[in-house]
Amino acid sequence: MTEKTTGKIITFYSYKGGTGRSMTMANVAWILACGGKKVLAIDWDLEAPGLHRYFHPFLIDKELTASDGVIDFVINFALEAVTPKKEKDWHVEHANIMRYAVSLNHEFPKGGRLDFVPAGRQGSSYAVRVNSFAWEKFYDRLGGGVFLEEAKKQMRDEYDYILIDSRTGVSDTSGICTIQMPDILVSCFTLNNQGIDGAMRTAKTVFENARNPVCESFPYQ
Amino acid sequence: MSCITLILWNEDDQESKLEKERLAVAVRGAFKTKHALSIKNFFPDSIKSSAKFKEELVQALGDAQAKILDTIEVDKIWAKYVVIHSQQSSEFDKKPLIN
Repeated sequence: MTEKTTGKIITFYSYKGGTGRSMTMANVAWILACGGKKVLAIDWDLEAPGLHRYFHPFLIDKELTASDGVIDFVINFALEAVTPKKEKDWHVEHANIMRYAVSLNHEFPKGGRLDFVPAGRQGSSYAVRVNSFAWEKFYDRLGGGVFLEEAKKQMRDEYDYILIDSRTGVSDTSGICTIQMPDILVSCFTLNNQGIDGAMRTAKTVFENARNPVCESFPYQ
Repeated sequence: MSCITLILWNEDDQESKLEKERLAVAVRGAFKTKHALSIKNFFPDSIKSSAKFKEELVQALGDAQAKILDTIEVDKIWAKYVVIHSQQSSEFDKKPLIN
């Protein structure tokens, strides 16, 4: 019998750009996979996706022109939600974000695995799809929050670690990535006033909204 | 219903040039509501390359999709599931925000 995993979801966030957040996340994902863990890395920085650059040598579709991702995942769900159905649990299949995952072309030791969900298919329509998607309506009208909870459950069942690369600042998706999605939030910042203030404000908001918040500090140089 | 209407146009054709205003009137008449709403990409007549055409089409499809998601009734089975689930846990029925 295969043992079911209960994976941890970890979001990497930074209030300001240029902190090395994506690079850190890519390296943590790699180290965990080398340690025999099953890891899923998700690029949720929809406005400026870049995580794939770090996995570039190990991707078959290097520029992601043929790989769907997070934005396609939510749009496909949204379109299904406004289509009349007969089946009761139709959303379960749609909440499987692993359908959009590609495995890195590398043999990890000890049975480790690193899969990657891109932000979305790159091309001339990408910006329009991202900019025209209304996250407010996704929650208020379409029950997107409930849908994402189902997605979290499925990811935890399949992987040991799910790492999310979040958008910076206070954008639509950064709230989702830092408050709803994670069990652990890693807030990256550089040693300047704006970075420190932003990290503090984010931590405060997450503390106010998260279930059973615990704070731990690690050195980061 | 949401629809996108494409009218192909030959700038070098004399008859097309002469009939352009009549066509514009006909389009305004056929889509009175859209015209009255001053929708930004209503009857754009400046598409002169395939690249521009692709750009306008992608934008129009994006707008149409957003409108569909904004107005069409949500599947009843899903809406019921969301209500039941939200009663058990109402944590994420609103988009989480960082202040």
